[in-house]
Amino acid sequence: MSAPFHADLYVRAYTEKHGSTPVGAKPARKTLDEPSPWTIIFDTETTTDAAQRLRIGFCQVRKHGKLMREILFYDPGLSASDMRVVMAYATANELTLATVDELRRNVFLKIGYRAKAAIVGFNLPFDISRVASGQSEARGSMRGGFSFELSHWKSEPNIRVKHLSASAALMDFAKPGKQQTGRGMRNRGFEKPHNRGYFIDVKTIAMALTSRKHSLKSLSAFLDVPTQKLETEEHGGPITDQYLEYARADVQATWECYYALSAMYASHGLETPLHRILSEASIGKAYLKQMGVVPLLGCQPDTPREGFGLIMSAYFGGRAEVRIRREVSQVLYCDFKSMYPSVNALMGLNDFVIADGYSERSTTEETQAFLDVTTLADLQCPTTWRKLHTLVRLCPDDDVLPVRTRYSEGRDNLTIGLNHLTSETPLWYTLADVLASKMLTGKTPRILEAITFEPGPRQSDLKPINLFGREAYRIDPNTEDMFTRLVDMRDEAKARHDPLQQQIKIIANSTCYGIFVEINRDDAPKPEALDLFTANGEKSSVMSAALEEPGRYFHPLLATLITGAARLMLALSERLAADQGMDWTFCDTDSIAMAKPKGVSDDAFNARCQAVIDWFEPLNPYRRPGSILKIEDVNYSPTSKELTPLYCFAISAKRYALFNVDQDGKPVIRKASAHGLGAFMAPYGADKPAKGLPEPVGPLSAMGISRWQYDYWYKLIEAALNGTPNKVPLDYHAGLSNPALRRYGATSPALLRWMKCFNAGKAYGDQVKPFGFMVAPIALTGAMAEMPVPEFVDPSKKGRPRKTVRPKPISPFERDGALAGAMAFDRVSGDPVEATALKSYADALALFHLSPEDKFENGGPWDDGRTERRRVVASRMQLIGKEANKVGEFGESDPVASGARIFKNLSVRSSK
Amino acid sequence: MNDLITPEELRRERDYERLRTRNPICLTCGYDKHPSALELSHLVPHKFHDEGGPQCRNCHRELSDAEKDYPYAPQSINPQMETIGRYLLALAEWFQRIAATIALFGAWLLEQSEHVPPHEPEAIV
Repeated sequence: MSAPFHADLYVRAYTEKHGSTPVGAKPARKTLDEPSPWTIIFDTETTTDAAQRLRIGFCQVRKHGKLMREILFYDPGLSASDMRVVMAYATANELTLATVDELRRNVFLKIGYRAKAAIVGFNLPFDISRVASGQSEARGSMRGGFSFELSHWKSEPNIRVKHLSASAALMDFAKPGKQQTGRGMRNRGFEKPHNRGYFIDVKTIAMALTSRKHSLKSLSAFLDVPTQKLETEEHGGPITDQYLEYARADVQATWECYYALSAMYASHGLETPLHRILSEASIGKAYLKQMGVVPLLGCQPDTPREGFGLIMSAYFGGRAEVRIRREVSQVLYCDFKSMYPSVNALMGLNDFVIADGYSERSTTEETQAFLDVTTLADLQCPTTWRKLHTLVRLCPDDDVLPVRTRYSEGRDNLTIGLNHLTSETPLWYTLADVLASKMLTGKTPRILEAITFEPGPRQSDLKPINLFGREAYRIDPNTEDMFTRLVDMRDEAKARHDPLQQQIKIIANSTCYGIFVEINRDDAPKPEALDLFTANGEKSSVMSAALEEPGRYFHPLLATLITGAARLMLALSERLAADQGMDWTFCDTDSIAMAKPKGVSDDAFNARCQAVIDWFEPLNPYRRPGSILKIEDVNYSPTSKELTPLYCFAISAKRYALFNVDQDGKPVIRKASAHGLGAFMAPYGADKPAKGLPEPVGPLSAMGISRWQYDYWYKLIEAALNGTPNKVPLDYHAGLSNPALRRYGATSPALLRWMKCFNAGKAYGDQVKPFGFMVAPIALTGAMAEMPVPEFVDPSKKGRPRKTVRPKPISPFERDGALAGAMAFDRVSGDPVEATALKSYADALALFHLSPEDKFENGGPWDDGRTERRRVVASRMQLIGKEANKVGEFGESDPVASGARIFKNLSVRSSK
Repeated sequence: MNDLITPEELRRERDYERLRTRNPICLTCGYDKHPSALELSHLVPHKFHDEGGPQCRNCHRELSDAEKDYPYAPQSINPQMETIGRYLLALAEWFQRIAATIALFGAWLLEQSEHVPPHEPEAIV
């Protein structure tokens, strides 16, 4: 038995600004929420230096879709020769020629603002930042974003942009600095609603409607619009007619893509206007609204928040773990069909979604009795899952439960691992998690308390809808479970090769989980008073700058029960595999790779796996028969379509590769993860791959990686197959010796401040602007770092000598690593950073293959083989808020970064 | 570029914003000739509730006159109940007027049915 691991436990709490009304409880807006028949579509072309200054752009002004005016606008700083070309082009093509200032006044302000046109672009925040005359930090609801000036007159509005994600941003017109409401109306207590404008980023709606990230080029091809994006090599060079043709075609392609996507959205028949769609989740919410489903906080706004604190303390995300680490193992890779909709359906959670609130009752004795008698066979019965609407409170006694803590010294990541836990402080978990512990250990936990939740009466105004206006895709929330109905519809559409099956999948995924746990985080400039609700059902006040606002359909009970049941599914597959004498290599939320035991033939292994798969068949809630645990396509040969031995090399959570082995003993990669690699810019292009490596057997997009990542994984696996997993060669491509670069957009004022030293003293046009790009090399550290020049200690100076500070290098955007390295400077001091002080790609990747799985024993960097669950003993309980989406020091979004706010430290208390 | 959009179009946009719809029509008498002659009529005084719809100026004045018999803001010890009561009273008043318009239209249709032949849809060629 391993030594106990004493650790603080980090438990979610719920906070709310005192006296605030959550979004879900706010009444619907009563203003006109649709743009006028006018549409403005525009795009800009810039210089290729760090400032990316505007050169020219094209703008179409359309009314009812008909082109009314096409404008070629330019920055007045263009050279005389460029101006001649621009003027001649405008004349020859009968275009209106305008300066960018005229565009701002006569198009954006007059038509965009006063005539309420829809303002459309591809990657709109960037283009808005290029046409603006200045920028500042946004305030109020858009704080953390930018305010772009369109006019020096205070009576004209700015445009505010707040970055949300790589695909979405909030954009609106700020209130102008003049009174909007007439005196008569003010005296009668009226306030004229402010015109926020209508901004539509084609990149955003493309992501929401297709569930894929697109460039304008790929989107044009995907939608097969008449005008495809052209290619050009002339960025930054003298302006030519060809370059202007290219830029003009960009705007036309943007319009055609917007038109096609508008039609695609219109086919959904949703009342929510297109400019309100920011993601797939927006579409899910629009469907729920269309069906008349009122959010929990809308029908039960006085839901006790103490209950939210209790429920959130039992909330954990999906399991992502590695069991057999840094060893090649043969596996069968399986995936649960629509995991979250499946567990939704099994637990009957649809009843909660359409209910008018919920109630709770104490069920301690009956829940303990249920726990005592429930066996593995009982969990094969769907009716058992209907009883899992329960949270239990217990003092874990070596029970296997999700544990959120810092598993390593010196690392600031909180991670969640399914480990043996002992705690004197009572903790809340879902009944599903406690059942999972029983299935994995054979020991029935003893509970102190149990609360079972029941849905209230069905809401009265639910309406059936026809997806895409088609009767065949009808959902009636009064009589059907909408989650199973959506998956059934998708299966039927897939069988008919109906392309709508992809959109149905988006609707299913977006309505079944994420919207119920949506919490929007806002960083206030200074701490504010918040009501804090904890696992103990207590309410207290706390001062914090991390403001958390629940999303419209926030329903913490559903989110907590769903993820708990998903973890139970994975625990059952783990238990069933063990019963068949098998281990598993890794699992990731809804998938598991079962490992072939030594000495067992392929046929016997497949038969054992099939037994595990077949066990889940009775739990299938869908019309299409079969088990909900599926063998993934990568297990089959791409040519013969037969089951082919598949191997896995897993390093740590979400870092693994699946591959076949050819007759020469070389890997044939089928799937690999970009986790930990995706933050880097490619050290070389796909057109210059590493020499001597075989071409991928399938499209890299299907594998989930880019070419340089494929090459790296190939080398890594090759080393493992050769018996030298610790020696991964990194000299197979010259690009790996260049400084490692990570790309960032200056998407917030905090990020733009990284370029403060670069921008100092420069005119606005020459500065790195909002949404401009920059690259961050990485400073060498530790033994590889150069020793700093020692300072002479001045005996007349008192106090401790200054600590040597590691530089924080940053560069203006440059794809070439060597050039970027040469321009690197410290973003704090502004001093140049030598290229020799920067990590190369080889340096940065040197330890990737040793990434630890430190949530488990035998998961250290140099360990390999089977990891073991730790025996965690709880020290203190720390309360945290949302652990996600805070841009860390280097800009990557890390779901478990230490952006979590620690609200309170609670000492271990006796449960008695 | 100043000719791209006319001052009239800008005025219409302000009307639609004010009336909260791009297809304003008087909910009582059906007037829809000119948006500037329509007003946003609150069902009950806006201090009770912000719900409303377009009405022509004449119908708005007629309807508003009856409201002057009642207070402009909640006065009782149960403002929520008072709001619901005022809302329902106002809704009843609106329905009465709409019913009168529908009755007139129905009578007109009956009169038309004596001498207007049924509509024949065009054949699809």
